[in-house]
Amino acid sequence: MAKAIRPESLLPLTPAVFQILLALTDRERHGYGIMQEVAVQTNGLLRLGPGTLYGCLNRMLRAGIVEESEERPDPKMDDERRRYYRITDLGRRVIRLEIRRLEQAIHAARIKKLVAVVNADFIGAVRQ
Amino acid sequence: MIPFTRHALLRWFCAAYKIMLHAYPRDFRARHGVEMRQSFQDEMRETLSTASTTALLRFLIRMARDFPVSVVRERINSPSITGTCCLVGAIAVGLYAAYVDHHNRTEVYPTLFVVLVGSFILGMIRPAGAWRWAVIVGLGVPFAGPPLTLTTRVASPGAWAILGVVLIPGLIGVYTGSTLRRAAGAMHSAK
Repeated sequence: MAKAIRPESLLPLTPAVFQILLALTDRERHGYGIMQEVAVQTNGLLRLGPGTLYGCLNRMLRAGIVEESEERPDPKMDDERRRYYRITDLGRRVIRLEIRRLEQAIHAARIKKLVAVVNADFIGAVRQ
Repeated sequence: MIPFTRHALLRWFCAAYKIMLHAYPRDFRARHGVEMRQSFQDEMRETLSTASTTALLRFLIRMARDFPVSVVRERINSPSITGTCCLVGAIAVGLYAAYVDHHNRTEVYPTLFVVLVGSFILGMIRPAGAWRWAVIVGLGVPFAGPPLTLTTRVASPGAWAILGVVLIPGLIGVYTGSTLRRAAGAMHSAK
């Protein structure tokens, strides 16, 4: 019998894994679709290369937080060699826990009055 | 960029990337190689469609950074490289045990100690199929000893008996190591 993995044991997530999971929360995507979505989500601050993307996906498949999807959004429109990936229930629990962890970090930063500075830096980086 | 140059560039870079993929471990390449090429090709095509040399340079720099980092990471994580290192390690421990055995003719404990400690470490590093390390280390003492020490070319008639004796600490060592490794892994995931 397969051993149940506790979502807490997979935290903290790396920025790449977090963004990949986030890209898969609304719908299943193929590799290049994930790369594009991650670039959009981060305003181009994080652009994954194929090596990093598939290395992460390989580990995420092994951990059971994503899985390959059998269905294709539109088989006629798509190359049949493409594999689609979707987030699993475990993956959803993991990303929720990670978001809660990040919220706690932001809360702590707010207490230390760092959030305004962080926001300004982030907006500056996005504008660049 | 004129369309012909764009098409030729796409073809050349994709061919180069296909060759570069051989730097990844074989199982990783078999699983994701086609998709990686497809993703590379898609992104390269999109970059070339912008007809911007800066965008192309930026893309190539990003690929040049992504490639070595991911190759090293996948090579380290690949089970085959750990297996190869353990095989080399087991042979080295076997040869060292044979050397110790030859220099301690009257004492058997130093040899058994080397076998026990070496096997323990190998079992810790690679718990899967741990018995193999005990056998490889054990084979070293009766069979590698004579040629190594230049005394005789062949093992003594009692070589199999020696192997039997050496296997006991070897198996104890590898299975203690592998059990500890698995227990540590279970404790880590339970945290």
